[in-house]
Amino acid sequence: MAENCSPLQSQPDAKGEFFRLVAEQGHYGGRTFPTPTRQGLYVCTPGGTTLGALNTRDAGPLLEMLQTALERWDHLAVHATSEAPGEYDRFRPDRYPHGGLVLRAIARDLPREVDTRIDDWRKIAWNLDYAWFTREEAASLVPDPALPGATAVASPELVRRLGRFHLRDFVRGEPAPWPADALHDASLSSVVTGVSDDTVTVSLHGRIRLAAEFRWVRQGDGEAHGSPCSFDATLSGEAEWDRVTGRFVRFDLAASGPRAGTQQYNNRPDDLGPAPMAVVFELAGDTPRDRTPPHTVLHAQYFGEPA
Amino acid sequence: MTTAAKRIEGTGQLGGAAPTFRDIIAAVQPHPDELQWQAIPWQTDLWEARRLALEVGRPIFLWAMNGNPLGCT
Repeated sequence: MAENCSPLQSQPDAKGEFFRLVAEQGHYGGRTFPTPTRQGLYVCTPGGTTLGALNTRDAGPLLEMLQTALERWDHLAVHATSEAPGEYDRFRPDRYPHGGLVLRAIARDLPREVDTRIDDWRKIAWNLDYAWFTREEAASLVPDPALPGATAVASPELVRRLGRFHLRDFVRGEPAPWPADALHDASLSSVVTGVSDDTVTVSLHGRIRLAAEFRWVRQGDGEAHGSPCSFDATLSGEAEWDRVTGRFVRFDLAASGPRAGTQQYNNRPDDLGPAPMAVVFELAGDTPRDRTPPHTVLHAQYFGEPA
Repeated sequence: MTTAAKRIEGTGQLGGAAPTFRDIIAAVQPHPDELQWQAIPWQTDLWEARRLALEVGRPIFLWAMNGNPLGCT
């Protein structure tokens, strides 16, 4: 199974306690410096006995750990009699926007004329995230009445969330959301290009320009860092709205343009730009994996009051 | 390099045509060999994984990252 351990490292409920039980028996047990992270790969019994653990991207050491863990499992005498976990009271509410618009976002650098990037994983990096919008926010992109040529302007809340939380440079890592005052130009509009009894097709276009100075203190040595960051994204796409269900059944949006700068957690110090990047959005499915929360969903302003 | 990526990099290759949003999406979308990890039927909730592991009599393989391993990480 796969889960974000950032909340699990501290959340005060049974699931958090179970994760910490397992993690403290592993490779980072007891560690607080340079960070308290417990990320890694673990093998454990349903009762919480850790059979193996490490943090690696290399298949060799992982395979070795798995083999050792399975040997330990085979020698355990009591794993089959572990008690079933009780009911789980969620510490946080499920904020999945049922009936809304759930998008899968992919970020990747675009080809560039002069490429000075280091020729390793950073040159081919891409990342994945999810974006959540309510039914009302999605509907704001559908002109009413939906006549050919009719236009609509996306709700300010949709544009704000799209810009601040999903047009981050997350190609190589996990940057913070843009601050509220980073949005300097932000617009997303639609035009009806096709109408049938059941569907409305709209073209999407707009621009979101973001710019802010990011500052951070590096963990470990306390050294202060800062970088002006920006992303001037041209938005273009197409979507299809189902008039019967009141939901989008197709949604393709590209946000592309020059980005610049680096942040604490997005691995860009070697590539300050400006250089072209794109974040593209499409409808997510309904599998458990496609219900992965957006990276920044716990931010107070993700669904919160616009600044 | 994909055709879409070529179109984006060298706008002169198509007589100066600017890339469309479909070109950009095609250039950014992961290739099949970048998605092999998604072939594993990952459970997404540790509590449910405990219950399932007990039911099938197997240990749990837990992939825990700061940032969701199945999303932005």
